[in-house]
Amino acid sequence: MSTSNRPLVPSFLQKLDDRLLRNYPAIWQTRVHLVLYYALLVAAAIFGLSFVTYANAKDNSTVGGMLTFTILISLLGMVIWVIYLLRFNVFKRFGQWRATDSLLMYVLFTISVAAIISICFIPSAVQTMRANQQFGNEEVVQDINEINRTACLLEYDILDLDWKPDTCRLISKREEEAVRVSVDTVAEEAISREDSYTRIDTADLRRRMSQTDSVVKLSDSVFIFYSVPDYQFVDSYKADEYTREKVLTSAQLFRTYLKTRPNPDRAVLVARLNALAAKWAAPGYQFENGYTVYGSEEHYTYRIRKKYALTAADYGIDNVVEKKYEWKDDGSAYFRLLWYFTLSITLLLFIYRHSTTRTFFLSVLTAVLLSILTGLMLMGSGGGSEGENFFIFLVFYYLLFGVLSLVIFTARSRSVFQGIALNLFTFLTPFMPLVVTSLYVISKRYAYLHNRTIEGSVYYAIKDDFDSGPVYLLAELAGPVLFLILLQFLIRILYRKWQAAPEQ
Amino acid sequence: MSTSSHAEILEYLNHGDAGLAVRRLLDYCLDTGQEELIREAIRLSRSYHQATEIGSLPDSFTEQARSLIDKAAATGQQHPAPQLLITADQVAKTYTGGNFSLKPISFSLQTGQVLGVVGENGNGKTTLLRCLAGQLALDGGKIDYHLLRKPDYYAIKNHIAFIPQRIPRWYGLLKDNLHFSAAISGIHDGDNDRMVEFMLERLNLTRFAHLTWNQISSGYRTRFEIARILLQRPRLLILDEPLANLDINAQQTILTDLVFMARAAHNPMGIVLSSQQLHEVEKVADTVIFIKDGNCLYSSTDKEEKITSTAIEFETTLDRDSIHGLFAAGDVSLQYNGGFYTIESTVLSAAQLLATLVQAQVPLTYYRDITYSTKRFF
Repeated sequence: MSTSNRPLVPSFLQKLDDRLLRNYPAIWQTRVHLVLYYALLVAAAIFGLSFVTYANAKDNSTVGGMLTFTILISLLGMVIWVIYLLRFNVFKRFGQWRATDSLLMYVLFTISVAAIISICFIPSAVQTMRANQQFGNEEVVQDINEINRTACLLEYDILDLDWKPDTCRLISKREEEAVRVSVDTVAEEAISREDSYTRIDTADLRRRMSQTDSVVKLSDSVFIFYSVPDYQFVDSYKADEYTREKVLTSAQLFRTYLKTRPNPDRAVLVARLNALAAKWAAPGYQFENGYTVYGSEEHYTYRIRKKYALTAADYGIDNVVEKKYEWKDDGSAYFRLLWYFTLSITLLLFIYRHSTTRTFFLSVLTAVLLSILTGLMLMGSGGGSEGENFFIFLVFYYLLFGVLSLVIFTARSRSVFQGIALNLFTFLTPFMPLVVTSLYVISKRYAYLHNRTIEGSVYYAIKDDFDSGPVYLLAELAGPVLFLILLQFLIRILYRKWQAAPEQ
Repeated sequence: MSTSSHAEILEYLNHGDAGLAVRRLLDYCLDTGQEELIREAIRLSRSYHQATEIGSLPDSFTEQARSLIDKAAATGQQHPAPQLLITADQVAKTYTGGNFSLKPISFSLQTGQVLGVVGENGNGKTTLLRCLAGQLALDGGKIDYHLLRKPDYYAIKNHIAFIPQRIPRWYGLLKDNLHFSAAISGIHDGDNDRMVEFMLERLNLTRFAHLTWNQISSGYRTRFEIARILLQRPRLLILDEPLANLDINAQQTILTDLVFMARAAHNPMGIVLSSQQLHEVEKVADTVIFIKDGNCLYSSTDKEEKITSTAIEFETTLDRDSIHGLFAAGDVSLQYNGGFYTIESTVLSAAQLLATLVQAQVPLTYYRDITYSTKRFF
């Protein structure tokens, strides 16, 4: 058995290491077992640290600092692992490698890189976990409603109960087009002289109809939109996005509790409101300046929030909601971040280990030079409104590298140009479905715009009936699949032939 | 092979060459393919090395060795017939810069044979070796690898092991590297352990196995590289200046071991090696070729046709005039090369030349018959 000096390696892991070394060298040399073990140790430590740090979900999020720390730790782990891989670069040794070993090693590299990078997401995940542990989704909404309702009942006398009207006139299509086409022309002035109503177009009408608290239709083109004063003393964006119970709007609060003068049991309600304020109060928040926020210290919202210390509660609720739903809102973005970092690093590692050091760095140099050259050409050509020229260049390069790579099959000796082409072909492969899809989506958008323009519709109020989301998702999934297929049936064989070919 | 190995090891034991006997016994047991015998040989080798560290062999050692020889002999292991391994036909190579050309060279090699390539620095030895190893594309001629069917370069490089003069460094524990090399050669599990232990014992490296590359001398690095390569069981082993980093004893040991291993039934292979150590190489090589300025000037396979005179070299403390006087008459040419004399004669044999020196009571400090040695071409 090996007697390595690796720190914190238990005997079972050493046994596993020995077993892999003797029986599964393709797995052993990736050191995936050690990476996963150490990643788990570090993850546990960071989990514990985050668990303690994020004890109070109402606190302002300090995940940024912890994120920086974990990024540094991940970077350190990555560097150590990569140095090992680059030094113990024995894959190129000739031996009885199995046909699936390249595929296996690529997958294990991916797992290792993902394990190292995913450490960075632990603080944020723990923060969300802690917020969910401390406060239920429904609880947040219920408490928001109770605070607002109680404050309204207690402070009915100082509330502004007058709804604010806004009379609007729907302008005609011709007027609309005149406005749209020449915003600062005589036409606009003529229209604006007609009346003092707020002029709205059909799109604006639809928006207002969906958002207004009340509306009165005076004629086919004149509407009075009413908006209720703000009775939400605490609130939080997205607090009720994932709950059955919804946060009561100011209009709902008015209709339910303020239509008639309430007669509350003040002592009970004050005690309850104070308890709720204390429950949600984020530590360290001072009451805001009334002039700055509300225009006057006499504003009822200012007075109520000050009286019951609701500002700190509002911040507390905001912080909790932000933490609770961070992963629901941004989870897919985080996953993409993790995936594309992992994919890029894994590809570079894979290419390095299948290429020579010289060819690898020449490939990087070629990529940089091509990027500069392409940038210059794009500047000359304008690049296309949606960057389609850039994508066309990428497709061209990919095909070029592919053709040059295939020359390896018939080459008598190893050429650095073929190596560079193969490296760049390999790197671009997982991204090509995305590139081609982007071109497809751009072509769709062009057609759509073109047709709409011919029909004479408003060109910027496009209702995009082509949903590109699923197409991109499909392309994102197709990229790795295409790469794995090509890796097994083409790229692996090309690297093997190129690597084994004699030098000139 | 079985009978000759048996007798050979017994002879070593009888003459007290325990170290040599242990090494040959390891080979002998490996050739049987019997796990238990291999383990027993490894144990015996360990006990021998431990005993030599203390300074005395136990009395039971010879008995154990004889018992093991008998057990191995009882398996009836036969040495396989030699197979044609490689034929180089008019192999030529010119570098792109055009500053050096290897002129057409032809030879063939069988399993169990050793081909020595000698010559001065920069005359094409490494180029020839790299061509054979499939590392350099040929500009002329062809190489047939007879044991491979329709070989591509991957198969060729899997078939051949090339140990360069400057061995790339190893990372991690030396033993791990050996296990890894064995594993990628299809030797797994218990076989992996056994073969690594065997190779460590065979090349007397066990006590260094848990060290790293930086902790061993360049001579041991060469030995570890040889161990690693042998674990991969190549059919053709090519070594570029393997003796460069070895002391005199180690040179002889390694060369002898390589010859033994080349002829082993376990994995009979051919060996091509380049070296400046002419005499050591000539002692073990079946064929020696001498390359100068890219041309093959001499091959020991055609020595009878090319060698028409006797040649000896010697060193003496006698003054030059006396030596010249001694060989003034007759068809003898005498050359003084700074430290020693070279005599060539188309009439006298080496024994007659030596007799002349002895009869004249010339005080000899060194004498060698180089009639069939490439030394005479330097």
